[in-house]
Amino acid sequence: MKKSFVFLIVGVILALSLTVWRFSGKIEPGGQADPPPETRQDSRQTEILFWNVFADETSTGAFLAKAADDFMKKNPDVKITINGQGGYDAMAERLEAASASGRLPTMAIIEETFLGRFHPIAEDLSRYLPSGVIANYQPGLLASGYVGSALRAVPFNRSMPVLFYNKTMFDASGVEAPPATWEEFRETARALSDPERGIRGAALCWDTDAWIFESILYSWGGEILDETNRKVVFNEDGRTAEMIRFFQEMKDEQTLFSPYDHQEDPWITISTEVLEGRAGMMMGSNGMFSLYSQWMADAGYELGIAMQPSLDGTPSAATGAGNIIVFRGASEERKAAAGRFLEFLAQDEYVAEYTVLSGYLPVTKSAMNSEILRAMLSEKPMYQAAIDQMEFAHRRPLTKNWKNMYSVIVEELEACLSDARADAPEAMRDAALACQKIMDENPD
Amino acid sequence: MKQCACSEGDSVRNYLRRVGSAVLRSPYTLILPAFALCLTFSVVPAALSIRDSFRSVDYVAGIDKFVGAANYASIFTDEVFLEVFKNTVVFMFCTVALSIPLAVAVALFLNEDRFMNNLTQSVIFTPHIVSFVAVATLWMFMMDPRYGILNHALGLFGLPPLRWLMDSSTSLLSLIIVASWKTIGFNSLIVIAALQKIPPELYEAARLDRSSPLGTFFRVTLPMISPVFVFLVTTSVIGAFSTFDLVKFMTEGGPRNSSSLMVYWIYRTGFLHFQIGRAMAGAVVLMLFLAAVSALNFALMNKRAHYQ
Repeated sequence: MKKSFVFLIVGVILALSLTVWRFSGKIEPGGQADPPPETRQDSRQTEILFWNVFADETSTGAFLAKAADDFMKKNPDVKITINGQGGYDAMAERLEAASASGRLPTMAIIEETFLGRFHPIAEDLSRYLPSGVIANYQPGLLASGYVGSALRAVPFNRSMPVLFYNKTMFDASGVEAPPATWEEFRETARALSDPERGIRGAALCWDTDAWIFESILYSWGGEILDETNRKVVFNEDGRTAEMIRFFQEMKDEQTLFSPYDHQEDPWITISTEVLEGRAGMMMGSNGMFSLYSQWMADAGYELGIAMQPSLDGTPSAATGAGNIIVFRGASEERKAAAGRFLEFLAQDEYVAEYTVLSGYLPVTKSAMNSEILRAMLSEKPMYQAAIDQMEFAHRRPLTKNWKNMYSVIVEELEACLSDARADAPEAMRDAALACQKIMDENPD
Repeated sequence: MKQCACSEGDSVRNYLRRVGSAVLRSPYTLILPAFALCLTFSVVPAALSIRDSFRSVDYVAGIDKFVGAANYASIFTDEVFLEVFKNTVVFMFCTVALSIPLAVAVALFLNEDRFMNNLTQSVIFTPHIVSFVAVATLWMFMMDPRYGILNHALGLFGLPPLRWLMDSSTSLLSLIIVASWKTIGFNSLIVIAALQKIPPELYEAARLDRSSPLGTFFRVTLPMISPVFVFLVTTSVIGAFSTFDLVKFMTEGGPRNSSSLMVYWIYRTGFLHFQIGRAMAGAVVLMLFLAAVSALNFALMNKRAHYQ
C-alpha cells in the first residue's frame, strides 16, 4: 500500500521536475516568435500577429485595422491579426512576458525609448524594407530607430511636445503671438493670469515618463545622458535645477498651474484647466491636436499650436510615441510579410490620413506633398508649427534602464512642482545619483 | 524472503483490483490532488524563485547566469528597498494593531441576537467582499485634498486639511486606514463566532463572584476567545505583507516611495524595471520574514492562548 503511494508521489515529482527542467533551460533571446495560428487557415497564407498599442475600438485602432484589411485584399497570401494591448507600458510588460514564454508576436508598436530594452530581439529592418522607403522617412523621427548602424524600428504614430494655447484668451488679453522663448512664455503667462479669478497663464505637467521635462531640458541646452548612453549628465552644470526653479517661480507668483497639487491624473487636470479657460497655455503632445481642437471648439474657444519655446531662440525638442519593430525570432516568411506591410503603411495615402485622423506627425517626407495633408494644413494652418518642429528633433536616451530612471526623476520633479519651495538642486542631484546607480548596477 | 501476496488461484487482475481499491481508499490518495496542485503552483514556483534569486535573468537579452548572492547584496544596500521594507513592517504592525482591537470592540457591541445587530454585522462585513479597486476608488474620493469628505470633517473640528495620499508624511497612514477598514468586518465576524461559543455558565460564575464588567472581559471573555487571535494575527500579518492592490491603485508607491510596500516593489522591480533576479531576491526575503513572523506569532500566541 505504502509502496504504491510512494510510486505515485515519485511519479508526480518526476513529471513536475521534467516540466521545470523543460522550462528552465537556456534562454534564447526573444524566445520563439510567432505562436502557431489558433484557427484553421489557408496553408498558403503567412499569418502575422501584430500587437498594436491602441485598443481595437479606438479611432487609431480602427485605422490600423482598416489598413490591414486593405493590405490583405491586395496581398491575399498574408493574413494580419491585430491585437490592441492598451498602452505603451502595458505593451512593454506583455512583450517582457512573451519573451519569457517564447510567444512573441511578429511585430509590435513600442514607445520609441523602449527600443533601449527590446532591441536585442528586434530585427534589422533594412533587410526587409527597400532603401527608398527607408530614405523617405523623416530623418528626425527615424533617428531613434537605429541602434548602432542597424535599423531596429521605423516610425508610425509619432509626436513631439508642442505649445497648445487658448487663442481666444490671447486675443482677449491683447497677446498677439505665442511665445518663442521661455522668458516670453513667462511674460505671456503673466499677461494672461488673473489669480483672483483662479486663472493661470500656463499649466505644466512633466508627464509620467518625464517626456515634457526631457523636451524642455533639451530646449534649455541640457542632456539626459552623454553620447555613449552610459553616463547621466542632466545635473552636471546646474541648468536642470535652474530650469525647474524657473517653473517654481512661476508657480509661486501664481502664473503657472501645477497639477501636482491635485489628486487626479495630471494630464487630465491640466487639459481640463486649458479647455475650460482657466489656463492659457500648456505643453502637450501634437498627437492630441485633433482631440483638443474639437474640445476647444465645443467649449467656444479657438485652439492655437506653436513650437515648444526655447531658451535663446534655438529650438530643440524630444520626439516621442510609437515605432514599429519586427521580432528577430519570427520566420523569414513572416518577417518578409511584415516588411511588405510596413512598406504599405508608409504610402503617402496612409501616412497623411493617419495624421489627419489623429494629429500624429506625418512620418514620411513625400506625404508632406499629398493632397490630403495639404487640405488639412489649409484648413488648420496652425498645425504647420508641429511639422516645422520635426527639424529640431533631439535624440532620446537609449538604455534598457530608462523606465526605471524616469520613475525616479518624475518623483523628484513632482515634488518640486507640488511644493514650490522644494530645493530643486538637491532634488536633481538625488535624481541624477539614483539614475547613475541604476545604470551602473544594470549595465546595457 | 517475503512471501508473494497472491495466493494460489488468485488472478493478477484480482490482485490489481485489490491494490487499486486500497490505493483509492487511502488518505494519501485523497490528499494527492491538493498536494499536486500545491506542489505545482506553490512549491515549484517558490523553488524557482529561490533559484532565480541567485541568478541574473534577462529574458529579452537571453541572459541567465549564476551571480551568487549579488542580488541580495544589491537589495540590502538599496535605500529604496530598505525604505520599502520598513514601510511594510510599519504597515503590518499598524494594520494588525488597529484592525484586531477594533474588531473585538465591534464584536462585543454586536454580540447579541437582535435584528439590528445582525443587519449591522452584514453591513460591517461588506467591505471584506468589495473588490480592492472599488474600495480604492471610494477612498480616493474621500481623501481628495480639495473635495474629499475627510478634509471636510477635519474642518468641522477646526483642524487643517491634509493631503492624504499626496503627501509623503500621510500616504502610508492613509493606506493603513483603508486596509484596516477593509479587514475589520471579517475580523469582527470571527470574533463574534468565538464569543458565541463561550459557555454562559462562565459569565454566571463571574456574576456570582461579583466580577466587574472589565474584570469579566479580561478574565473570562479574552482568555476564552484567545485562540482566534492566533488565527487573526496570522492572517492579518500575511494580508498586510501581501498588500498590492491598494498601493497599485491608490499611490503607486509614492510620493517618493513613502507608501511603497514589498509586493509592489517586487512587481515594479521585476515587471516594470525588468530586474527579475533582484525581484526574486526581494520575494525570498519577504517569504523568509513572513515565515519568521508567523512562527514567532504561533510560538508566542500558542503559549498564551486558552484552548478548551
